[in-house]
Amino acid sequence: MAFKTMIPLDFRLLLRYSLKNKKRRNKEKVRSGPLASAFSSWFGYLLAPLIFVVFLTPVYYDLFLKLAVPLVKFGMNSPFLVSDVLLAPVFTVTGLLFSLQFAALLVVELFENDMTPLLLTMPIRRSSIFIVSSMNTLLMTNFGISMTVSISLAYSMLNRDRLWWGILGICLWMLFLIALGVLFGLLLAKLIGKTAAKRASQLITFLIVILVVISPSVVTPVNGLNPGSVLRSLSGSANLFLSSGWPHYWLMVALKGQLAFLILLLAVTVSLFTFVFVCANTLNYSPARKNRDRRRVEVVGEKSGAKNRGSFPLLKKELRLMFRESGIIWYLIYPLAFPILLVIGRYHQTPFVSLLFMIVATMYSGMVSVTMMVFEKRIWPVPTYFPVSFLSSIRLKVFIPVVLFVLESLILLGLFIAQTPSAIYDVFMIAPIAMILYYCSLLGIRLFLQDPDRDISQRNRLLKGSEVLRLEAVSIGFSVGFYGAFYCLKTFLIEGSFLFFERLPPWSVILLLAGILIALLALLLRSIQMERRKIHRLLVE
Amino acid sequence: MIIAKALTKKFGNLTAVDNLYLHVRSGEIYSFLGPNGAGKTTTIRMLTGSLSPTSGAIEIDRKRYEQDEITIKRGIGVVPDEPRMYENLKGIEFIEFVKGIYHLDPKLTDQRFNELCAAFDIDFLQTYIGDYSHGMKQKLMVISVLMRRPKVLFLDEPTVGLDARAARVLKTLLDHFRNEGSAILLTTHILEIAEKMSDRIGIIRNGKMVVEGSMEDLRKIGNNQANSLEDIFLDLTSKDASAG
Ligand SMILES: Nc1ncnc2c1ncn2[C@@H]1O[C@H](COP(=O)(O)OP(=O)(O)OP(=O)(O)O)[C@@H](O)[C@H]1O
Ligand SMILES: [Mg+2]
Repeated sequence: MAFKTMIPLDFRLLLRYSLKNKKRRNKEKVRSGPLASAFSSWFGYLLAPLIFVVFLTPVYYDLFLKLAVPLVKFGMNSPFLVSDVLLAPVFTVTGLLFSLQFAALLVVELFENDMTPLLLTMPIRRSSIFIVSSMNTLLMTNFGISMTVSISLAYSMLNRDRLWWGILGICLWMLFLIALGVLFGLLLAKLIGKTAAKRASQLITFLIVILVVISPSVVTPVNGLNPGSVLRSLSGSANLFLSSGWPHYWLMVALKGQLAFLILLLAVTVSLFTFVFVCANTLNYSPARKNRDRRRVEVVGEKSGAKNRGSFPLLKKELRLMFRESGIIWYLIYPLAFPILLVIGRYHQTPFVSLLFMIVATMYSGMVSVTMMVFEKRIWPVPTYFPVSFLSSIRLKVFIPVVLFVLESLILLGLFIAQTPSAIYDVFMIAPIAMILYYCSLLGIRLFLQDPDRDISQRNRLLKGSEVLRLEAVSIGFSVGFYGAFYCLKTFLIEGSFLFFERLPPWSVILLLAGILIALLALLLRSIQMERRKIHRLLVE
Repeated sequence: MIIAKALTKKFGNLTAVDNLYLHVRSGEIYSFLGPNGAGKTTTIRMLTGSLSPTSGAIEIDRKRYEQDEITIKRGIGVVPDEPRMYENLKGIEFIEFVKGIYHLDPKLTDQRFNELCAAFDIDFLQTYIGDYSHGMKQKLMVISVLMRRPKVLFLDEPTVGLDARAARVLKTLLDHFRNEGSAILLTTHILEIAEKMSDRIGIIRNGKMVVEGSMEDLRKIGNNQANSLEDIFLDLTSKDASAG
């Protein structure tokens, strides 16, 4: 109760509103614990970054452990380790990028949330709107979160006896980055408009991905080299990045045991937040429209007139909208970028990476399809006036993500084969992957259609928590089932018997595994058939 | 051209449109009037194939939605009550999309399109629709329909958001289309537009047609000395007026 009265009423109401997935029809359901459903929704969205954290943290931990050589050994008068020198810039860069990404997404959230204009006319403090938007944005920065959390988690694991302090430190570090992000967001919101902010967030997205792909290949060669020679070239960077003015330095020192630095971090974070609160109240949510491109139209008319009229207008429209939606770009890049990072760095064996890709790609093909449905929902009922059947439009929304993710899986397969030639047998997995992708897309669309009155004003919660979990369960279940059985079969055929299979006669093992695969295939086909029928029925109504 | 027989739409236990008969001929502008929530938009959505009626029959240019949905939709033009368009497309890209899905002749359309852009003073097509004002969106929606020269036109409050000049241009164009033989059904709350432009007027209330006819007919029906459309409208749609 005391906690409740500490938080202003308007803020609590806003949070409640934004957390629950508004349902118009059955009002009884809303009353039955909006917070519970909100948290299941949060969990649903945080599961993906969680998976990455689980995969990435050991990678970084391993790396840090290898490089945990004291600088004193090389005659440098410093309490730090080689890993500290290498890590300090990584902390800075990932942290900074997380903040920037958060800022850009926040601006999009502020200007794209259909409720914002209305909320602004109500007697609600601007700062409340701003903070609630920030909390929603946090869910969308999954890439940034995974990076920062897994790096700092791996780092704090080096000092296992102070793990709880380490976790506290990580929380503070995240809060600090968020405060920084909010500050950047404020500046961005003041400087640029809605579309410009979207472009900015996409640019930052690409930057992060490039960095993620490149960074391990920059760091890993250090493994093989003589640390001393590397050190000399990095001593400059040590002086630069390990000076006490940097917030990440406070975190690193705190994780090493000097807990006083946590207080410093806390103080800075609190003052940043205070500053932001004050500023947010003066924030102008409708930036000046900049119509830079006001060219005369005639020129354009002639140009487009030369174009062929029958050139797949629906496909073109879908692709355009798709690649302008930052959320979808994330969904597309995510499943590819992390496996590539893991493969190039040779951190994990191919089976793990393949499975990781399968799980994430199938999950996201459903999410991409759902996001593409929102394009139409947002302008409803206008799409019903177009002289095309809605079904053909939906078909594209299913096939586009499937095709794109199959292409990604082919790219990955190429990489795998280049690394371990025996991965060539994974070719047989392409068909099941395509089918699971197809099924997940259908499922996403069906879930979306089933509740046409859903609240789409918030980009990051298009599906309800239970729906997200359902999609995730399907994707994880089929991926693990297929890949598990396939991997066992492949290993059995190439390398001979292993584990408990040794006790069975070989023909029965093959029969068993092949049987599982066929049963899964049959189940998948049946489920696809059922989803298609359900979608047809929903459309007829 | 536009025929509706015993058209009815129920939302749960609310009857939004109740046994409505409608006939708009070619070369005619029909104004559909009624207080808020009377069922105008619902009627238009049914007539344009966007909402299926609970019961009743619709015929557009002698075709029915049950058999020729796509053909009908390709032939008609609809300006919906709210100008909703893909916000992440640029104006020009939306126009391109419309040209594509309606299989329009590029040369002919481009010529009309450029004329319309000049007439409506549109010079913002290179920017994203999401950055448009309400009126800019409405202008884009209107020209994306008019550039197709449809024989059957539905306009739901088309002048909302348009500036005085654009509204005038639209009225002139509709007049022109009517003279060329289009059937035009429009709803509006601006009675002056209905009075000046339309050949016939229908007033509905609670989903039922209250009165229908030309301005002369309405004057005769109206109580005592009511002579402006406003008087007639307020009279017929007031609470104590006998419905139907
Ligand atoms: N999708 C829907 N679900 C439930 N009820 C609806 C739906 N659409 C419209 N209605 C109801 O049908 C009735 C008629 O609405 P409609 O939009 O046709 O009115 P209108 O005449 O266009 O009003 P306005 O002049 O305000 O535009 C209203 O009572 C409205 O609440
Ligand atoms: Mg209406």
